[in-house]
Amino acid sequence: MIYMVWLLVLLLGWIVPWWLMFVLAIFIGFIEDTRLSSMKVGFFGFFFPWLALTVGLDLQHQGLVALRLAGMLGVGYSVWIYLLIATAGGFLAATMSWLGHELYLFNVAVRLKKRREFKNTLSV
Amino acid sequence: MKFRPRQAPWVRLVLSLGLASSSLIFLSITTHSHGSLGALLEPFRGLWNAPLLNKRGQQQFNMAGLKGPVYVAWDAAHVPHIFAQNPQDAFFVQGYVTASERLFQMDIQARLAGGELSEIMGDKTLSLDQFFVQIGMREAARRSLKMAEQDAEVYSAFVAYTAGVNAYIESITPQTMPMEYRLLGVQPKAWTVERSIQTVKMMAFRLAGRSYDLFLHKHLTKLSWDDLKELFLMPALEMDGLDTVYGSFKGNSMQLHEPKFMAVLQQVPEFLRPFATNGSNNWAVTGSKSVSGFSILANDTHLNYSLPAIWYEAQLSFDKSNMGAYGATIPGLPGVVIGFNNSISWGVTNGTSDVLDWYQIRWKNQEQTEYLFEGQALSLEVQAEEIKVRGRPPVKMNVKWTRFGPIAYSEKDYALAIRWSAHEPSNEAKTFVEFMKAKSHDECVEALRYFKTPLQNFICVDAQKISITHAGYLPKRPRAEGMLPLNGESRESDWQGEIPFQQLPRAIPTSDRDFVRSANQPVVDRHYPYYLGWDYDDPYRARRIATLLEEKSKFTPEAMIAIQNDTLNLQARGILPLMLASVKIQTLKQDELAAVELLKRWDFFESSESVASSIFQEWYNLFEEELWSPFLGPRKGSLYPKKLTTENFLRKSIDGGDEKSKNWLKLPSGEIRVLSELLTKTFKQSLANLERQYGKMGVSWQRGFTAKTKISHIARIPGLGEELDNTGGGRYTVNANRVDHGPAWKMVVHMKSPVEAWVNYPGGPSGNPIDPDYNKYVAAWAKGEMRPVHYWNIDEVERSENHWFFSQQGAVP
Repeated sequence: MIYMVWLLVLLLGWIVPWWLMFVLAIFIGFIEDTRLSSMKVGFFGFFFPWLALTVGLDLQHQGLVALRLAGMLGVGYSVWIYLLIATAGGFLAATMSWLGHELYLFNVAVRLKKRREFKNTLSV
Repeated sequence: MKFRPRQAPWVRLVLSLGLASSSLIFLSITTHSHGSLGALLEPFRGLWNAPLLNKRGQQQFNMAGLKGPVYVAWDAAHVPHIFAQNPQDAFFVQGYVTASERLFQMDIQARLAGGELSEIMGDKTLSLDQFFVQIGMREAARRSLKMAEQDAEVYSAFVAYTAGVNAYIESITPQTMPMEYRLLGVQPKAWTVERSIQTVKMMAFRLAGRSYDLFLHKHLTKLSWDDLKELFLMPALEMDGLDTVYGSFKGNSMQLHEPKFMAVLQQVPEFLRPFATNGSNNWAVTGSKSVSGFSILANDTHLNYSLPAIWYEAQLSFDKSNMGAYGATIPGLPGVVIGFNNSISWGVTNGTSDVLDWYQIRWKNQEQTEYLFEGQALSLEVQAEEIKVRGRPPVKMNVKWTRFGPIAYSEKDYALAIRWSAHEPSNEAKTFVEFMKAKSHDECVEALRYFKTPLQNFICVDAQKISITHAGYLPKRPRAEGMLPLNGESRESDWQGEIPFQQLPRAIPTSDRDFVRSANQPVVDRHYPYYLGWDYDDPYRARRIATLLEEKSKFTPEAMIAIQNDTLNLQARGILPLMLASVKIQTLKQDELAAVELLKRWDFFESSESVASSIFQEWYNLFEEELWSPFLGPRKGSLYPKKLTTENFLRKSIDGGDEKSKNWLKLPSGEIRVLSELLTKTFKQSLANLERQYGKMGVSWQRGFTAKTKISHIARIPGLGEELDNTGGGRYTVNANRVDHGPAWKMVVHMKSPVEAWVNYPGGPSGNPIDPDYNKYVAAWAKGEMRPVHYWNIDEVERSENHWFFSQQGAVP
């Protein structure tokens, strides 16, 4: 599952706006079994592609993007910037996956409630 | 999928929805101060994926507005050499290339001068915009624009440059948008000729917007006129007998509550204030004093450091005879400001003479629409101005103009108007265009006829002739006025035109001196018929340069570079032995005695490793403030005498002291201070201060650490600047490097054939902080190294593999 998310992130990232990618992460929550696994897949599904891209693309700038951002944010080393950006992407994807899972659960709960009400009607 | 029923699923749904949406909104939000963080940092289209300007290999551009083909050859240092068939095409491509490297810098400088910063920065820069609009910067640019329009050659240069800048702006994609625009979430503004002229006016403000008239007047509330003359007239001027009558407002006669206005002036950020001394050095030796037999020029301009650098290095050539120039250009302005070609070289130092006066205006009516002049009521000319502010409606302003200039500050009955040379219509760009065509020293000097502001000491050099001209608009004043605010009710204080070009101060070699030099020192002696000013720089740099040039009979360019890097502090050499002689040694502790020994052994060179330099600077500053603050107030927000005055005071006091010097040891309360106690107290205090900041005396006290060189980003965005701890120099050394100010462009030109030159500056060609070219030259500059350069011929373009080719739209390359 996670490899499929990586692939989708890497393919879709060049085409759709960044925020739409995260909205699409909602679907991870519909597919995964548990809340935790949804969030894990969401987090790592975005964390690794973002980390690889930020490091890889920054090489063409001789590492200056992360260096400048580190200076602006007052953090000591560029590596924190790579991790921060990747973590931010992973975190946002995880929250979206969680939202997806809760949507799914809410939907199921509503349907169950309706089914129970229907059964009660029958029993009456 | 397993389903485990839980309680209240809607609660978790709301929680997850809240967290997800707030995270997404936070990253998408665009505020008044920055753009969307998500868009900026996402790896696919954000900063990480911004393409760099391609200065390698070949690129072709098809452009409307060009008359013929233009080549740009990028050399190994990534300096563009522009070759066109006519001047307009050269300026067009100069505009395009400069914008591709420095667009944000150009934009921000023009916005500053035009009071348009708030349009992108919001409320926080509104007071700054209001200040610049109030002092007439917009109107000054409009007046000069009208004048430029009358000069077909210059106007066509401006128009072509503008078209080049706008061609680049139109080519920008979201991915090639400069980083700062992305951070701020704004778009670049289209370039105009007026914006180029605003750039000149900003330079005029920084270099010739200085005026201490109000500070001096403030001191007059506490001191007598004689005291003021003793403290503030340059000793050199006094010796030359120039202490004639200055100012109309002797005593405390000005009616304005000027401290309020002083507070307004203080609102201008430190780095923008013209009050910081913007000095420079330039000198030249004739062929008789050079090893090769050809003249040599040296110039280093002292300005606030910034990244991107103030200057942009380029070559422009525009006809078959290879006419043009190589050197330092100002982003936003066509032409080369400091540079050389195959025939001449030229450079500048700040002229520093007084070109700004304050006039006290007396209102005729309560509505403040009329003022009194020679007993008559004169009407104001009111200009309605508007300042656009990001995120809120525009702010409307009325700028009121008197016959002197704009009203800068007003109270119930009185107001202050400014008369400033930069308000006069002028056509400085013509000088730079003429430089590029000049083939001799005399033609170079003739080009200065058009230069008005900021007043500069222009050095002109050809293979054999050298000279320095104090060039610019210098007002003719009826009496020796201008040191204090003037009476705006009387014609007596009015300017009477400008000093004619032929009468401007000029230095040429003499039979016993085959060099010329300027370092912001006074430019004339008492025989000069006009009052020029009083606020010149202390003479230490000028003296040191003269000494070094007199020491040897023949010079090479390498020897000139060595002089530029000289760090001997003549101020310290003059005053430190006097200070040390008065310290009460018997009261000092062991570590304090060690510091005394260190100072005694100091050779007065301000190298980055010098601990003595750090101690001296701290001690001197404390002593100076302790000495003068009872009379002049705390240093911050006040004006203190020149260093030479303090040195002379100390010399006289130690020799027994005359009555005048003794007065400065007597406090207003009547208490008499003892000089040795003052010096001992401040010495101990200085060591304690250094220890508190840098630990025990040792390596951490080296000048490189206590006075780190700080090169800030032009918009003061943190993290986009540089900090260096390996630089030497100081305020009063030839290498005038001090924290955030110093040699912002260094150049040595050897006028042999072909011309040889060496340059460097604390920056790099690119204005893009994520481009390695952004600070490309900083490390070499810090070490005092220079880069050999030369004026390219068209043949070299053909040999170069790195070039851009511009052709007319529709033409086949």
